[in-house]
Amino acid sequence: MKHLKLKNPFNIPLPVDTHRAPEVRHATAPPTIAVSPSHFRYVKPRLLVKMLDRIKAGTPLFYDKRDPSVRLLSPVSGIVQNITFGHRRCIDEIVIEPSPNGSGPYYEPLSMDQITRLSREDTIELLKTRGIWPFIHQFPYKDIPKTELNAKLAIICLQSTDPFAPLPRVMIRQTGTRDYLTAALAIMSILANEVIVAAPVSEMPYVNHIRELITHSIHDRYPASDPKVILYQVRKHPGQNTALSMDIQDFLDMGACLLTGSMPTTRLYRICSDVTAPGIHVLAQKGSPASFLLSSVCSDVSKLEQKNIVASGLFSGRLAQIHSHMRHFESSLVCIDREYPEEPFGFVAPGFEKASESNTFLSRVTSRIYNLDSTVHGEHRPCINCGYCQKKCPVELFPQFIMKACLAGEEEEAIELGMLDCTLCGLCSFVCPSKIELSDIIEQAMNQYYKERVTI
Amino acid sequence: MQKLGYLWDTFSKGIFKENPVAYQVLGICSALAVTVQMKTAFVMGVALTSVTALSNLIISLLRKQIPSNIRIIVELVVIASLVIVTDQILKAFYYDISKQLSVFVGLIITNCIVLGRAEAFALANPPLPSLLDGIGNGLGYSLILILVAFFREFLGSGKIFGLAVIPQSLYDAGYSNMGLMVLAPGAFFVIGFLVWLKNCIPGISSEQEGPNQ
Amino acid sequence: MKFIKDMLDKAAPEFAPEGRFSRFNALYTATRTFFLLPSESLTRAPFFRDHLELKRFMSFVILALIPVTLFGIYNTGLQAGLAQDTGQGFISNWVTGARIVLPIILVSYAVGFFWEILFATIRRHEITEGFLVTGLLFPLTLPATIPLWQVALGISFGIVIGKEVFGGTGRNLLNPALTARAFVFFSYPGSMSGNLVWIPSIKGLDTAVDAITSATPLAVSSDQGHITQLLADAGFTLSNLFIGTYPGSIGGTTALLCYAGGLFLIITRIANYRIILGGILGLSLTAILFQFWSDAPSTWMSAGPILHLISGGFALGICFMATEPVSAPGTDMGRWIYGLSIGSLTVVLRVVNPAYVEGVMLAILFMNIFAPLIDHLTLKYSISKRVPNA
Repeated sequence: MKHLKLKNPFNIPLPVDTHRAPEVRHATAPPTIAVSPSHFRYVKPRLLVKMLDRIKAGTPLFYDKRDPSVRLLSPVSGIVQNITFGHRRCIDEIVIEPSPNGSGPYYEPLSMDQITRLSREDTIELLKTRGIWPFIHQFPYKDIPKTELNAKLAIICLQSTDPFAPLPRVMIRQTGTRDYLTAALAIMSILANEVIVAAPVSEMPYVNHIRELITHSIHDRYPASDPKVILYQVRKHPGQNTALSMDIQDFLDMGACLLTGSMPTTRLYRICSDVTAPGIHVLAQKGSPASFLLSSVCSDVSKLEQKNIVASGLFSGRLAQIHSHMRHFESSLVCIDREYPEEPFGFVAPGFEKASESNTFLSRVTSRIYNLDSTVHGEHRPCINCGYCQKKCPVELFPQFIMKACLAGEEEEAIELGMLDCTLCGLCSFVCPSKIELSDIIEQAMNQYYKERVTI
Repeated sequence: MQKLGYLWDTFSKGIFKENPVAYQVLGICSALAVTVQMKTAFVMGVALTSVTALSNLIISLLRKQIPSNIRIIVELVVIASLVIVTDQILKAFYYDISKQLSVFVGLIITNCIVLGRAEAFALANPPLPSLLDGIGNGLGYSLILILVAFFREFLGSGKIFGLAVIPQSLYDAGYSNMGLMVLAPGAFFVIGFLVWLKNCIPGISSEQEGPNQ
Repeated sequence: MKFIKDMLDKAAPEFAPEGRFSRFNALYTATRTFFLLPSESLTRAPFFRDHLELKRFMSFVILALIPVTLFGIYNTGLQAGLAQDTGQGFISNWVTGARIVLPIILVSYAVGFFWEILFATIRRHEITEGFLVTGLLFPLTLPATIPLWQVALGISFGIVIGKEVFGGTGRNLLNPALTARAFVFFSYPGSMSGNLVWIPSIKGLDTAVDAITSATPLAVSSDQGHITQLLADAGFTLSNLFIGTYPGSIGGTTALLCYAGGLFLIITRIANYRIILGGILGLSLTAILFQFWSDAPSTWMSAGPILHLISGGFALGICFMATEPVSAPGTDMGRWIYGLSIGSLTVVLRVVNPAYVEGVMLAILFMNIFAPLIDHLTLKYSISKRVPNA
């Protein structure tokens, strides 16, 4: 097993890091669940259901206009209660009211032998009919993979990118995971020449039973577990840039779906109703509402409305409305203060209580955990070329130069500087003293480039 | 009436809107070299204005006779003759100034403004507008030259046209001349400021700028 | 604090877009955020941000400059007293120094602030903090006898030509403080160099004189003897030079406090250590090289690295001027190259060019111009080491 070193990890101690004996709760059935077409970034959805349709588990909800064979299936049986639209009429959520005693879709189970003997075409066909194909990411854009592509590399990390995501030790503990993992790995090795399975060092003692499946150990800190960071550390030639990746929970679900024939309908979520606490693991139905998940860990949800609720981690997540549902790839909810007082002479305060990467704060001499809050801390200013962003970049880019190239419309220069390697980890925006939205600017430039130049 | 308006436009364009130094950034070399004093700048302006005006006039008169493949040579012959005449007149009547201007009068021939106007305007227009265009551009050049020289001489040596204008009492009170203005970079700064000023004044600049982002 | 907050809140509607003074909104915002650091709620990922912001960034440079400034004040008083043999004590050194130096700093700040507000108002951008550093750094590079109107003119040039012409903070090619100094240096060489400018005379004394002659260490040279001995004879011992109790520019004499300030900036990571170390290394290597080849022991050519490091304004320049991030290269390798070049150019200018005894200002300005080129080349180099995107 090889260890991958990360030069510039995120150094501020987070409360979620301290958790060593995680508590798991089982949530009851949620009143509604939802599937979000706009969550699949480049997909152009065409709806296949309408309001008040009665659907079965496994019914296609929409397909991708770019490739009609890519369909997303309903995880449960029930009634389509609502379809909400967001900005520019993109389909935000397809809300389904699950019918009682409904179970997941059922397919023909396969044995391990059958799986290993599958041809490439049959595998893709199988994944598409079972609705798993859209859950695979292809780098560098994290789009749904092209059917014809022969990937050189696939990267699976037991820990999700998000530091607030459920711990591998909780996920792997459930029965059957070893078999599911083996089956999923078999499928992945049909799609890609080489499969990398990585696990954080701190999780190693807890995943002993699958130790021989793990190929790389990685740093514990954010963003070491981002598959794109791992890709940057292991890749040798440009051909590997189009590697495949999957979220670990989807990966296990894929194995389960193939071996048992039924697609799991639940997902493990980690809910932090207080950012200074390590959070609680909740096993709940996929696409549950945020308020439902929060109420399973917190008695008074209305209190949380004073806070920002962030889905899928503080670094690259989304601001979730309390009544919105979890998106497919999201597996955590964090509540964080929305306000921070105007601080008298804040710029010269010694800063004992402030979480910061900067040595100008005395809090740096301790390793205590401080309260975090979701505010800017300062004002927007022009870039002063301080270079803090490049100190934090996990893939050793020069974010300030890429940002300037993007703003000047010099796409080619940005790509020459390695823009497509950007993992969108958000650390550059986090650390910028001028409060420039670096990762946002880069993300937009990347998406625009992909839409204009690559996908036509 | 319309004709008059056209002629006025041709004339004034060179002075303000499309000033050869401040807008087209031509003739910078001599603008740096001869603007330490106003006297030399003034003479240089007069010399260049007369050369540009006469060369434009002559080339415009000849424009139908000049074959296009040798037009540059013809233009240069005309300009060179005019420059030599100007140089000789200066040497004959204003020897001191001619000494100070040294090669820069002779180098009018390489001044882009003269050839530029001949090429761009005189070859395609009748004599009267060409003459006016030449005078206008010459005056535009002179204007900038004299302005630059004014600032450089006033700030750099406390004089205007060689006359001390800053009283000795001011020097006694601690004022001193700005040495930078006597150096070549001083001219760059003054020209830069003038261009900036010109672009800031609405109506004079032909560059339409949007509101600052 | 509550009183200030109430007052600011009361004044806020006047400066709002439809208020009476909406044009001066930048001034209001700058005043308000000086007292009360704002913190708006985030709507875009990442959903929490570092506490470090530009005000703190810049105020740490000022913190590092405060000891240098205080020493400058003291030293100015000390030198004035020594030269005129008033036999004044510790306290009166401070008083004399403050009376000479504080007006210079105040003029620099006031005039600089005027331009900053003017441009912020016309261009409708915010007043940036970088000027606070510029406004203090510039006076520190001047001799104490500088006329105040030249200070005003210098800082105006530095702010307008050095910064605002290029589009304000973040876009300046040159260090504004050094641009200001270069302007005064070339415009009024009589008040910036020579032997008459370094010691101010104390007004109101019977023995008051117009100008006191004193050479700076860098101007010391002779036909015979060794430079170290010559300096010692002129009163410049090593410890003297290191601590800074000798005539010179206000903040440039104290190598000790400048390097201490530099160390503070390195530890807090406000300044990039590569530039400072690179500068010290480049200067030392070049000085050793010159010392090795020198055939004139009485000139600065054979002074050796230690003397070069502690004399002149090198310490101030490399720790506070060269490390200004906007005009320095943005890549790590570029910063090394930049620092090394500044160090060695300083020695070259000091030793080879007899016209300008102090080389660090020109060396830094020269390398400022080259910073984009260094960035371009080092970026090209580091790109060539990456696996390309396509």
